[in-house]
Amino acid sequence: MILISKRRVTSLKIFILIVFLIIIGRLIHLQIYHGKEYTLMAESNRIRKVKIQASRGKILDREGEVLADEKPSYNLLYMLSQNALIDDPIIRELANILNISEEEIVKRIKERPSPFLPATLASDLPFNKVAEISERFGDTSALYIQPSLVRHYPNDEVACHILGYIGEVDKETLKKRRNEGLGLGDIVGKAGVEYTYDSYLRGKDGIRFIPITPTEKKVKLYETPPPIEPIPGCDIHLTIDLGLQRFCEETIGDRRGAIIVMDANDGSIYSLASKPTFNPNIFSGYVPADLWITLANDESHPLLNRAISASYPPGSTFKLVTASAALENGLVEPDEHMEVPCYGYFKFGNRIFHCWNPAGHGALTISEAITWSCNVFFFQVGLRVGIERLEEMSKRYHLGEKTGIDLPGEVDGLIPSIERLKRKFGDNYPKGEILNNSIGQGHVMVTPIQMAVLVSSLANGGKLVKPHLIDYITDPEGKIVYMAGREIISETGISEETRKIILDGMEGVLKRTGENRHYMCGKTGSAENPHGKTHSWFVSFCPRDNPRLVVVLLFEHGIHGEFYIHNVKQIIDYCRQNGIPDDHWPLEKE
Amino acid sequence: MIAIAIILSIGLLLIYSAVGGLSGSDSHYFLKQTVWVSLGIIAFILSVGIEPALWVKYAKYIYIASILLLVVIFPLRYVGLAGSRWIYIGGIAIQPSEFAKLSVIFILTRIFTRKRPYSIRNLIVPTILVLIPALIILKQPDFGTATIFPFILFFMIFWAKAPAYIVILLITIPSSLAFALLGYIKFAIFVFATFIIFYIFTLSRVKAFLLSAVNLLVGASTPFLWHLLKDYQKERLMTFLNPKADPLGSGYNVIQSVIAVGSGRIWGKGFMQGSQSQLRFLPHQRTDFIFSLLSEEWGFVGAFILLLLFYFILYRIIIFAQKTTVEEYYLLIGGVFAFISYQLFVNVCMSLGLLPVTGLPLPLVSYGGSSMIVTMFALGLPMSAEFRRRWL
Repeated sequence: MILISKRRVTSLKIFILIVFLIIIGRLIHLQIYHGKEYTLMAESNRIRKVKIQASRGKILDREGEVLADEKPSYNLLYMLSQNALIDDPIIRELANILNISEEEIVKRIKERPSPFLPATLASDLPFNKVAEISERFGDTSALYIQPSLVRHYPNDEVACHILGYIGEVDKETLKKRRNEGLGLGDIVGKAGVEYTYDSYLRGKDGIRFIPITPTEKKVKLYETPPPIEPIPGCDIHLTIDLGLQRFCEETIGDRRGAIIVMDANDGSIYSLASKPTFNPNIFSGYVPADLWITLANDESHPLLNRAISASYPPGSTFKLVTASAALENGLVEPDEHMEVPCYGYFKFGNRIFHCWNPAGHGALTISEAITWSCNVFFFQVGLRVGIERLEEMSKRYHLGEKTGIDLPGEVDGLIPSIERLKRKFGDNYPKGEILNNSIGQGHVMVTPIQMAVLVSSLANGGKLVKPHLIDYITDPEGKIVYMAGREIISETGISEETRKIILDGMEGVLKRTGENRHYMCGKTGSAENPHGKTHSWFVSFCPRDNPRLVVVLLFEHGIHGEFYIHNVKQIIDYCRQNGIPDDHWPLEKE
Repeated sequence: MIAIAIILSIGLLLIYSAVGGLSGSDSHYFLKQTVWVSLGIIAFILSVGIEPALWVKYAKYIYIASILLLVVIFPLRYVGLAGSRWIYIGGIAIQPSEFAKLSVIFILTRIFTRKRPYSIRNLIVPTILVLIPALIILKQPDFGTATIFPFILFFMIFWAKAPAYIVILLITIPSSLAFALLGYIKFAIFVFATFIIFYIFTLSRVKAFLLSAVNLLVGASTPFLWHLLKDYQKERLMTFLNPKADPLGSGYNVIQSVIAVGSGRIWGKGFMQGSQSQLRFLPHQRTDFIFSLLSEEWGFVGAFILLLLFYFILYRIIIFAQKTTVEEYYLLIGGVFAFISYQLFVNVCMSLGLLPVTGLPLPLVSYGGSSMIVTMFALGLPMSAEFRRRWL
C-alpha cells in the first residue's frame, strides 16, 4: 500500500487524543471545578424569588379608629431571564392592555439589574386590568401578577401631618438602616409617625419561589421551596382622638395655623392639627414625578406641620415668661405698680413704644397686667429683668429647644440672648431690644408645641411634660411591645407663689372676656410679624385646680388671639362630651 | 459494534428524556427515533454486506443524484413539499444534505485513487465538486453542515499522503479568513509567518511566495465573504468571540448550554431530572444540544463514558484503515473518519462553548432519521472493509 503514511496515522491518533483531552478538560472545568456555581445558576434560572410584601402595621387612634391601614393592590412582573422583543405577541397584547408602548415594556425588562430578577412592568394595577391579564396570560410563566399592598389612609387629609406618608427608601436611609434588612425598592415611612415608628410598623417581607420555564406553558415538574411567610408589622396606637382631631382641623377651617390639645399631666397629645393639609394617599402606589414640584411650589406649604416645624413670635403669650423671670428674681412685688402707669404708650429714650390699647390700662399689678396684657407694664418689667434673666427663664421653660415629640422635623425656634445681639450689632446693640423681647417680639421665635409644654408646667405645678403621640404598640398577636409612659423634660422650679400670681392673671383673661365655664386659664397673643397681619395665639389649660388639658391655638394672620377664645372653649366642650381624656370632668362652673 | 450499540441506546434514552417521556407532548419523536435507529441498523448491515468498492464505482451517479436532491428543495418549497432543509415524502422529512456527505466521500475516493492530489492542479476538480453541494447547502441556509464538506476534502487530501505544503496551504486558508477578521496587523503577521513556513517545507522562494499570495488573496476577499453571511450567522460568530456581550439575546443558547453542562457536576441530576433541559431552558435539546442534556442529567461520568465510546470507535476506524490493503477502502475509511469526527467534535465543543453555535448533530445520538441512517451506513463502511480483509 503506497498511500498509507505511518507518520500521518500516528499524528492523527495523537491529534484526536488531544481533542478528546481538551473536551474532557473542559468538562472537568465546567462540571467539577465550577459545578457549584453552575448549579446555582441553573436554580436561579428556573426559580424566581418574588417578594411577598409584609403588611405594614396599622395606625390607630386612642379609640381604635383606623388612621392608616393597607389596601390590596397588584403588580405585574416579567419573570423570564431572556429579554422580550418588540413584536413578541405577548408584549404587543400587553402594551394594548396596559396602554403603554411596546418599547417602554421592552425597556423596563432590559433595565432590571439582573436577568434572574423579575422586572416590574406595572404597579398598582386596577382590578379590571388584573382580570384581563390573568384571563389572557394565565398559563404564561413569563408574567406574574404579584399581590401587593399599598398604604391607605381612610380619613384622607385628617391628621396627615401626624401620620406622614410612605415612599420608596432612598439611598441614604438604606445605608443608615442596613442592619434592618432594608432592600432597594422597599417602602418606608417618610414623614410623621410613619417615619418615627417605621421600624415597628414595617414587617418582614416573605419570599415566594415561583418556578418558571422559558416557554409559555407553566410546568409543574419540580418542587420549589415553600414560601417564606411574611411577618406583619406592629400596630401603633396613638393618643390622638380622631374625632377631636377632625374637630380641631374644622376649627382652623381655611385658615393657616395649628391647634394642639395635650394632656397637661403626661404629655399625651389628643389632637395636633395643622392646616392646610395634604392627602397622604397620593404618596401610596404610583407617585407622578410632578407631584413633588407641585407640592414644593405651593406657597401655602401643605406639607409643613405648623405645630412643630414652624416657629412664630410668641407675642403677648411670652409675657408669662417675662412675668416668671421678674417674680422669681424678686424684681416685681405681687402688688407693686410700675413707675409709669399705662397711658397707651411708653417712652424709652426718644423712642415711643405702644401698648395695644391706645386708651391705656392705667396702674396695674402684675397679675392684672397679664389679664389685660398690658405692654407698658411689661416694658418696665423687661427693663428690670434684662435679656440675660429673660433668656435664663426661657430656657427653664424649655423654649427655643426641641421638645422631643415623636415626630420628625421639629424645629428649635429662637430665644433672645446677649451673645446673639452682640453678634448681630456688636457692643452697641440697641438697648430697646429688651422692650420688644419682654412682650414676645423681636428675636423670639417659638413653636406651638413649645408653648403647649410651657403651659403644661404652669398647669401641673412645674413639670415640663414631654409631648408624645404614641400610646402603645402591639405586635401582630396583640401583645403590647411598647408602652409610652409619662416623661418629663425637666422641672421649671418656679415657686408656687409665682405660679399662683400668673394663673390668677390667666384666669382673669377668661373672666374678662366672658363666662369661664371650664375653670380655664389662658393667655392671648397677637404677634406682629413682617409677613402681614399679626399671628394670633391663645394658650390655655383647664380646669385650673385639677388641670387636664392644655390647648394651644395659633392662627397665622389671625389678628387677635382674643377672637378665638370661644373656639378653644368649643374644643374643651367637645373633649368633655366625648370623655377626653376620661369621663371624670368636674362640673361646669355657671 | 458493541460501542455503536451502547451509544445508540444511550441516544435513545436521551431522546426519551428530551421529549419528556412517553406522556410528553413530544413523545412521538421518541417513537420515531426508535424507527430511525432500526432503519439505521438495517443501513449498517447493508453497508457491511455490500462491497464498498461498489459505491466508489458508481460514485458519479450517486453524486449527481444527491446534488439533484439538494437542488430540488428550492422549487419544492413553493409547492409546500420542502422546508428549508428537508424534503417531505409521505409524512417523513428527508435531509438531502446528509446524503450529500456520503456522496462526496465516494466521489473523492474515486478521484483520488485515479489522480492523486499531489499537485495543486489535481485539486481543482475535487474542490469544485465539493464546493457545489457546500454552496447549495450554505444557501439553504445551513452554515454548520456546509462547513463539513471542505473539511472532508481537506482530510482526505491529508489522508491520501499529499505533500506537506498542500496540507499546510489548506490549513492556512481558513486561518487567514479568521485572521483577516481580527484586523490588518494580525493578518499581516500571519501572512509573513505562513511565508516562512512554506519556505521551510518547499525550499523554494517562488513557491512560498505564490502560496502566501493565495493566503493574501483569501484574506483580502474576507470582507466580501463576510457580507455574504446572513445576519444571524455573523451574530453567531461574534457571539462566539464574546458570548457575554448579549446574554439574553444571541448568547442565550451557549450560556444555557454551559449552565446545563456545569450544573450536572460529577454524577448528574439523574435521568429526566435536569431542570435546564426538562424545563426547556436548554434549546434544541433533541438535536444540537443533546450532549448538554447528557452532561446535565448524567453528569461528568455520563459524558466521559460517551466520549470514551466515541474515542474507541474513532480509534478503531483508524486501525481498520491502517490494516486495509485496498487503496479505495483506505480513502473511504478516511472520509468516514472525517465525517464522524468532525460532527462529533464540532457538536460537543459547541455544547461546551468552545466553538460557535452551528447546527450539527451529534452522530448516533441526536434526533433525526436521515442523519441516523447516513451515519450508521458510513460506520458500516470501515466494518465492511475490515470484514472483507479478515474473511474474504
